[in-house]
Amino acid sequence: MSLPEKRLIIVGGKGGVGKSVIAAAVALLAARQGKKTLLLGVDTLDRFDALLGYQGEEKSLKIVEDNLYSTILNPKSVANDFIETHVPIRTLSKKIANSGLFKYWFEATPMLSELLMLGKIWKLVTETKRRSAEPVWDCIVVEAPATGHSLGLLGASETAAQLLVGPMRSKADEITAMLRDPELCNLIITTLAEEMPVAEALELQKLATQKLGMTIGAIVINAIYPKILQDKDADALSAVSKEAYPEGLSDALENAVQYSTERRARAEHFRDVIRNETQHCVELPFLLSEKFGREQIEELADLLSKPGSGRVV
Amino acid sequence: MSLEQLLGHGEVLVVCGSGGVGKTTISASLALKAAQLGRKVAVCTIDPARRLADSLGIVIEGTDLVQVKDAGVVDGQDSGGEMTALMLDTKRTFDKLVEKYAPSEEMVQTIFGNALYQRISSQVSGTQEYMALEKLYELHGTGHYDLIILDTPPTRHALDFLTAPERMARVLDSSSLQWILNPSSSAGKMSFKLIKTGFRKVAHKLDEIFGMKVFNDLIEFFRAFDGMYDGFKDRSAAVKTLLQNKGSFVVATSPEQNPLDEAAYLMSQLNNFRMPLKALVINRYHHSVLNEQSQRPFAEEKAQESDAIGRCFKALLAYDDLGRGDRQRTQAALAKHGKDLDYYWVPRFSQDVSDLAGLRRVTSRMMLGDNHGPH
Repeated sequence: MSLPEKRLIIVGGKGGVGKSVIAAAVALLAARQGKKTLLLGVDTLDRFDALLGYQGEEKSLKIVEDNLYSTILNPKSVANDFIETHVPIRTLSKKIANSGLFKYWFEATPMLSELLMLGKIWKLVTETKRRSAEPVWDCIVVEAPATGHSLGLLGASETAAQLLVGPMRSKADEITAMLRDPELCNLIITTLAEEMPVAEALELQKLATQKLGMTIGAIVINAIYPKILQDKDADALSAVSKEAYPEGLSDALENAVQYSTERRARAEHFRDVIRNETQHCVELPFLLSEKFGREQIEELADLLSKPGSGRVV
Repeated sequence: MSLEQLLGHGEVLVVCGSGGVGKTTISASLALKAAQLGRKVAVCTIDPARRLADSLGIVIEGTDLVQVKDAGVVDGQDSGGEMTALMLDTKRTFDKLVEKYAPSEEMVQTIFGNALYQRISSQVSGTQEYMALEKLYELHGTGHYDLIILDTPPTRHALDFLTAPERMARVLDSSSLQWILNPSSSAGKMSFKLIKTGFRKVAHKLDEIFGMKVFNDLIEFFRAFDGMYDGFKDRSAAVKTLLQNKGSFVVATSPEQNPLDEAAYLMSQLNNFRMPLKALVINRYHHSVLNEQSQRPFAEEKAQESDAIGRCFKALLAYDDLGRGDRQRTQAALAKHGKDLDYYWVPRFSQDVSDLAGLRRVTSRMMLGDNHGPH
């Protein structure tokens, strides 16, 4: 299975598990497969520049390289869009958008910003080229907000449909259908092999499939601590003479071996929890590097491109 | 002033930082230290997942206040300190504020029944931050606690929580809204009229889409808050004064790039707001252990071998690399804003911090201070 095989890929998971890293790696992979790809952050900080080693103009739609574009959607940008659509005079719409009152009021209207953000994604997914019925974007990779917020986001169209009437209702239904279409849209859940991220990932899997009717493309276990040591290595270490070692090294070595063993054991435990819960588990190693940027994203994209990636880690 | 002195003598401590850095754990372990120093401390967290409660091994039902058993006990000796953990209930805190400032019981009921209020008081971002500070002020006012520690919400816009009361008060200032609410107002200027029309247009569009009465709710909401504005404004000024005079800020971060960038930004913002930033806690760092002169070269040579000992040295190098990366990133990111600050380091433990014993471990490592950080 190749990860970026659907047109709309939504990357979710707990805060701090590396959603933007995984989203960037999946998008890079898709672009390399020749797909015109959009990497879209929903209400997130824009870290894509740093991750993809891109430096260019501050534009709303950034061209990272051939086939790869990135942009950020947030409540403010969709609110401004909304006002501009209904109040076409620019100076006026700006004044309204900038009033503190409008901000609160906009946020206070149930699900409005979520719905508008979903609507924007829907528009991007269904947009076709001028002269053919082909979609503008072959692949859209969405970095969703952290778990609680992404459930709010992804469920907005369905909940809203109950309140809406007329054309808005059919639009909401179309959005829901898009999210539920397994041929079009997949949810990739990102987690770490740690207790709380795993608990949240499984919760997200359950709610997204049962409540939202979405299809899970994969659960990506990110940053699994590598197996550096074999089982008997620690024993071999205690048997060997350390007289010739520089001072202090013996203790440091023992601590590092203990740390490595324990951390690996814990990672394996939580990895197995995920393996038992899903057929579609993708495992990525902890990259033992001091920096994190383009080079590491490329490494992860390579790993993602290999079938059964990560089972070795 | 060292962190220990702050915990021993301070009245209000605010812990801030980006999401996912273990802010709640740091807040709880700071509270634990204060209790160990013999103080009555309350730690207030905003936590739908109730992680703090989990990390203390407590399951709570139907209450937002928990006394942590034996928090003040150190090595079998009871210091007499007490630690109380609270979960912030945003809506209830807001309700209380309304009850305090509304001129009549009838008005209280009107506000509680307003659809816009129901939404704003529970779900709008910004309200949570506002209510966190309100709760802090309220707790401080009770006089029940020597020290209050606030675990701030994981807000995307770093210091929203500091400006939240002011912004909220501004929104509630109905005098600035007369031109929208009162169509016959002779505000006069053409542009005002246009804005008014535009605003109504957007509002009516929303009404149309949602089949609701957004605009009517809005008018009712502001009419109801009319007259309460001064109370809210005074209150938000008092909160700010409390923070500036009696508060200390601790920034929590982890040694990864993103949280560090946010921490640096947060530190500069705290400076701008003239808020007393006192300490920096770097959570979950990898301890860098090898010196450059002899240990590192020796380990690198040994790691070349493919036997068991070689692998052990590989594990050591891998661990050391992590520590080096953590140290370099942290120094580079924070050098600019953290010159005169005390640094406190909490290592990444091989086990999750999930009970009081784990919290005690965090506390004792953290209090060792900068000398025990990565070198």
